[in-house]
Amino acid sequence: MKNLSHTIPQANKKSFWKKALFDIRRHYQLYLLVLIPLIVIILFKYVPMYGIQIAFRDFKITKSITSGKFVGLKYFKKFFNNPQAMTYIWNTISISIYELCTFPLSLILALLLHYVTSRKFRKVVQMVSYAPYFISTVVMCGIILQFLQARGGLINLLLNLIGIESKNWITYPSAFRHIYVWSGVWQSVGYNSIIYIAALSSVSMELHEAALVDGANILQRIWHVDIPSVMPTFCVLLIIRCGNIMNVGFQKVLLLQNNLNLRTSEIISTYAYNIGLNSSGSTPQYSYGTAIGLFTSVVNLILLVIVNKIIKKLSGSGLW
Amino acid sequence: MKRIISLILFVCLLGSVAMADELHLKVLNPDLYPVTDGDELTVWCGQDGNVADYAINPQNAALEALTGVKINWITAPGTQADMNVVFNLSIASGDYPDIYINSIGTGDVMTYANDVFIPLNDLIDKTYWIKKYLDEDPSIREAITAPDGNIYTLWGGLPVPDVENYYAYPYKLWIYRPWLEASGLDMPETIDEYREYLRYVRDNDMNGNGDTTDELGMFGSFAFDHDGSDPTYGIMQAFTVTPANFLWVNDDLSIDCVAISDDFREGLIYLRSMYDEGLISEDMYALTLNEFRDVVNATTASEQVVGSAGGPLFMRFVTPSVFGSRAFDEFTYMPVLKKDANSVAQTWKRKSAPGLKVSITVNCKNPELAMAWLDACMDPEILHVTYNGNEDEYWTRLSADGEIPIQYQLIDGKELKDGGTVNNHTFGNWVFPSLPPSYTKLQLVDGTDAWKMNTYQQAANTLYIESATTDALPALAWCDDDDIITEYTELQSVIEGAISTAYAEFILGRKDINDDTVWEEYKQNLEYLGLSRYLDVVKAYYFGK
Repeated sequence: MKNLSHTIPQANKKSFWKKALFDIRRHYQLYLLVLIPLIVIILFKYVPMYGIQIAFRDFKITKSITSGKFVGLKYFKKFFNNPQAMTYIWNTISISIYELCTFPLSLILALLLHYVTSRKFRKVVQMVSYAPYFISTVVMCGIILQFLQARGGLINLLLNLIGIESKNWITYPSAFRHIYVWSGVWQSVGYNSIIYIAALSSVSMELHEAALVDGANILQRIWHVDIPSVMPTFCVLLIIRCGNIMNVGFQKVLLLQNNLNLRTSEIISTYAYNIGLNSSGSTPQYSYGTAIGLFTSVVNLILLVIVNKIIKKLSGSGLW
Repeated sequence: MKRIISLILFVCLLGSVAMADELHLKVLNPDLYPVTDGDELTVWCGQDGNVADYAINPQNAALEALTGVKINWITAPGTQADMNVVFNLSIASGDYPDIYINSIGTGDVMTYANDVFIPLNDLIDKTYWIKKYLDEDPSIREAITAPDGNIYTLWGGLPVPDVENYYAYPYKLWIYRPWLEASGLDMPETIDEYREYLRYVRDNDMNGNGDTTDELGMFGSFAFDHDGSDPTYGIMQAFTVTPANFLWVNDDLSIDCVAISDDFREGLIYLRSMYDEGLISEDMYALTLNEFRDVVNATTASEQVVGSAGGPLFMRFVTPSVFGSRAFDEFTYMPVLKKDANSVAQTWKRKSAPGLKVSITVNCKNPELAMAWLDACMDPEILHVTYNGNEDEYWTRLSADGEIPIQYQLIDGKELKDGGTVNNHTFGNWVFPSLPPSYTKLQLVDGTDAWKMNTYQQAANTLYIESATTDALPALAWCDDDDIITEYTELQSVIEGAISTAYAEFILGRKDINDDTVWEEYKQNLEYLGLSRYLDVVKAYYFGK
């Protein structure tokens, strides 16, 4: 007679697959939940990787991917033989590292807001600092260009007050990185601080009470209680940011570019866009564009692994 | 109140529907209609910035009623460069429409021939109007025929006589006449005389607003430099004729780069000295074309800040609907500036050739229908209204119905495309191929805005024709070598970009043009970027190996 009373499966210590199957059957609801994002990632991140081979082939957009002749590293060599390749790489990295230097600003804002006693004032500051984040890049760039105009631009009017004469700052290659990075800070520092504000609010009050009993002032509480508490969050975000060091937001750069600032504003992604999609007079070079894209992704991956290892060693927390 | 508003809206709606129903397109060859009964075609084309929506355009409804073909429009807005990006994406998707209507280069045609675009030769032979236009002007057929003998696209714009081709002499300067008269100076004929005028504008409160610093003697937009909107090129012509690509192709087909010549440097030294004197505004290098227009288009004389401007045509910088009709009397062309009284005036002439536009794709299930529809749309009467607006609304007919050329007069004050309005009464410039010029004749009424504009523009062209010169580079080339096409495009972008940037930097003093070392570094940098190779590639691209 079949035993119906005992249906809970038992783990088999001998086989990994049987153990996995057992686990899946036992927690199938959780696995179902994971399945949805997993499918999305596989479909939209892994399946398209099939197209990476375009970088190694003479691909014609009107033919199938595999019909292009295999040409090895031809397009990678082409990029590195380009007299301006190093300029594009340097421009990309310098903007990215500069941006990275402003990374702690959102943590600083969160700490400042955390210690503001007036709830109303805190909410107003939060609101004002979040708001620019929701402006689209195109509109944001329009605002930046208006602000920077020599004739009646807000920045120049302010600079005039301290005796600096009006200039079209956007035409100066030396000013481009500052404009790009600090307008980015203005736009996103408030929004980026949300995650730290959440992390700070979960810091145990007992730790603060103990610090107060020990006679710690606000700065000491920040340094010895708050920062160590949010450090794991900070490290994870920093690692992810480092993994995108070659991916400077190309849309904003493209919109702020002009002939005079090209020396510092032409970055890898704008170059890839121009040869990949924006070619006029000849057809887009998909293989070349893909090779450049693949190169930046590989560099990003290497940086991600290195930074993860360093941070894990220093702070004990990492992505994996 | 709500009821009244609803009633008014309802009446307006009925009115608009009634007006749409009233539009009937005239045709010269009724045998071509209807093309079919109820078939559909998908047409991809650029969206004219002056036209709101093709799908709800009354002309579209009339065209559908006439041809029996329903068109599903896929449109790409923006500049030609923006349209090209969307076009490239559309090609990459593999989901081609039945018809692509986009101005493309010979390189695109060579790449997409047979894989995306089908040969049109046999289909054209069955048409009435298209075949007629091509037979009447074999130069169009020659220009659009690929090296393999096939035609893959129809044409876009067609060359017009030099005097009417406003883009042929791009480096024109236009002066604000009231300020010239106020200065007591004569119309400048040399660069030094022009400089005197600019000094006068700089030093005086020309607009009488009490501020002597807001006047800009000379203004333009560097972003549109090759279109002639950078006025400094008007001065540079006095030193060396400067084609848009900075190259001069000699009759023996040897090629020189103008931008490394001593004359070019001399011109830059002169312009730098003008900048040092405060006669060239840095704003020219920061503003877009539209921002340039905003500065020029003052609504009243007291708000006027620009004393002269660069542009191939008047409308490049003046928007009459904003500036007012006074623009036609107040802005006038300057002669080609000479280096000095003993020099000969010289300026560059841009050559023109038929553009390449309109192709039928391999995805089109019924290419005969697509070509028949195009042919039906290219009746002279239809092409005329899709460009110029509806009869008696924007123009009146002077010739008899059915007579060719269609002689017409514009209705004063009804300007379709002045850059300041969006209408829904035409298809604009981005859809159908141009009608050969012999099919229409515009008669202008003396004293009207249109008459003034055409008169001034043609007078300017007449003057510039005398001094214009050009090199041996053809306007259109069919290169069948993919590698050369790719290399040509890459090097062209790099070299022209480097020259344009350096040009501005030299003028603005960010690079010292007076320093021999800096000048040598500039030339060496161009060489490093591949200038010598570029000259070889240009030769191969245009004249073959």
